[in-house]
Amino acid sequence: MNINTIKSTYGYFGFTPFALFSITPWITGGHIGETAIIFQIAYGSIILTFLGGISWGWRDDQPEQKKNLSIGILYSLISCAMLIFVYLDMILIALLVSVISFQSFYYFEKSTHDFKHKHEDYKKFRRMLSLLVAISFLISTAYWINPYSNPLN
Amino acid sequence: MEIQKQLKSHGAWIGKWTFILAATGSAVGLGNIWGFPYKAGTNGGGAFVLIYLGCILIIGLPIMISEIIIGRKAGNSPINAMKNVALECKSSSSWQIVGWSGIFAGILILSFYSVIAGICLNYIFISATSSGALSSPDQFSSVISSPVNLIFWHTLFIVMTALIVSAGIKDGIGRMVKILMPMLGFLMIFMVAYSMINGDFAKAISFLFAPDFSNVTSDTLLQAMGQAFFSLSLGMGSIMAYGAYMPKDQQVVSSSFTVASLDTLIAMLAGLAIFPIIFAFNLEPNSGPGLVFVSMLSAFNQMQFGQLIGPLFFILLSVAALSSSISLLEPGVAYLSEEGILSRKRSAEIISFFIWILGIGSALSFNVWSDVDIIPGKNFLDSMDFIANQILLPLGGMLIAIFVGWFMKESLIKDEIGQTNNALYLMWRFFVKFIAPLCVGYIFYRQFF
Repeated sequence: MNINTIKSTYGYFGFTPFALFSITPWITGGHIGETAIIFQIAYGSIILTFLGGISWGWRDDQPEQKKNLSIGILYSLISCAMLIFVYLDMILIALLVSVISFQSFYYFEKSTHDFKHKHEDYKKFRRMLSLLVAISFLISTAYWINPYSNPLN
Repeated sequence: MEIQKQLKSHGAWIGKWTFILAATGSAVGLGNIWGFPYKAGTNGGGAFVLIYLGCILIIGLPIMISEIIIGRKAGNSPINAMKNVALECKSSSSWQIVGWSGIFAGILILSFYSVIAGICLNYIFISATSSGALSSPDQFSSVISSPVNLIFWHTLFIVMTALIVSAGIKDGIGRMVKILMPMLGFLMIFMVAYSMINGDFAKAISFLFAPDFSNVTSDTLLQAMGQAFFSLSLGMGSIMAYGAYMPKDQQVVSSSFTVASLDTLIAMLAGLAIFPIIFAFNLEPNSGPGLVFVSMLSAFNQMQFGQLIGPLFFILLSVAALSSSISLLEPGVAYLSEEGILSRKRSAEIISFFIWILGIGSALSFNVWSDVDIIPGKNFLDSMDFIANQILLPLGGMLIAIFVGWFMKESLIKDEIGQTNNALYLMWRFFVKFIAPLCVGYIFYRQFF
């Protein structure tokens, strides 16, 4: 397997918890549903911190890398904020921040100099994976605001 | 050389996605949207879906692949495709009767389909302006009791269909499916998202997908087999005609698989768009026109932004109906034009006119002719439906499977299928030779006994 295939295989494997945690609430409902959404946010914050850390591993002499280091830290801080929102029972805000963060990280990565020279398969994989993760959070958001399923109703 | 000449006379799909979009458009129709979700929900939910997927694999896909193989091999309309491929396989040219029966079935189906699709068009405006003063059953009664109203919308729908088909493969059907299918997908996703946020989505998921094997009976199997066969537009020559315009370098098996998957996905999404709304307003789930024209309108009348969501829903239905109707008209038009009897435009006009006349009978079946029986116990519309859906389509599908399974030369099949996994090929051969004809024969038999 070439390196891009390995990356996409691991990437989609890493997506499965997002899918599982976003579908579970609709099937089980109640306390299990709520727990699944909290787990999804927690897993999301881990992955977002990981993504923020990735930017520190990018080539040091690429243009604007100094700015990229700061933006990378920002994503780790957002992850921390997501967990605080959960602690404060602000689940909906945590979910919306997750949707925006994952999509915006993709645009951030896409804007870097080195991304333009990446393999086409990797570019497609990154776009698709970010979209899928955002959709999984949107599905959970819909569960949370739906009047028939919202655990707070 | 001859095939290239024929293809030139009709044109060919540009790009591999055009065939997939066109065939999916043909397969996705009103039946998927208002039939599949209800059947799934009342026949064991997830258990039905599993059986249905199995039936797609052993009945739907094998026959679909067979139709594409014949169509692409010949590069002609279904009648000439069946005749030419049969002659090439040293079989009787009488196999062309399968093409004739498909075209005839398509004409009969389109005659009443356009009346129902016309009602969908009418409901775009009704749902946008409905104040709820008239109850939805009364509204539906008032729509179908007016022959002039039904014939007006039927005429409009037929004209739209004829205009698209007469413009040709590249500029007409090919161009329109590239607009209609993404539009259908967008509207469907919008409706599902709306239902997910506002409807009783969890109950709909449970209704559609929670497996209940205690509800599975022999009738469930029959329903799943019927749905798998009818939902893919098989036996009517549409897929064969579309296959004729498929580029030679396109994979038949993977394209068929994509079409069947998209068809199933859209049917499931339709259930996830409709039933959360039905359950949210405590309406009874049902199927067919009663579901969309009565229950859904009632829900739209009660919901916030119903005058916006309602028209979008009926636009979705109309788009699905239009993408299917063009595939019903195409085989007949292709035959008349390739034989040089008439130009493509003239063929589309004349066949559409004939269909329009037949459709008037179906429109009148809702009101003044409701008691006029053509076949004992069946009014005009039901008789057309009976002849086409219960006799011609199963017979056509069965004969196509028998022809490809028993009479078509293996070398010709392999030429069209191209490089594929040998085990997969042998499985397909087995299904098309034995299982598909037997199952479709059983569906045909059970329609009568």
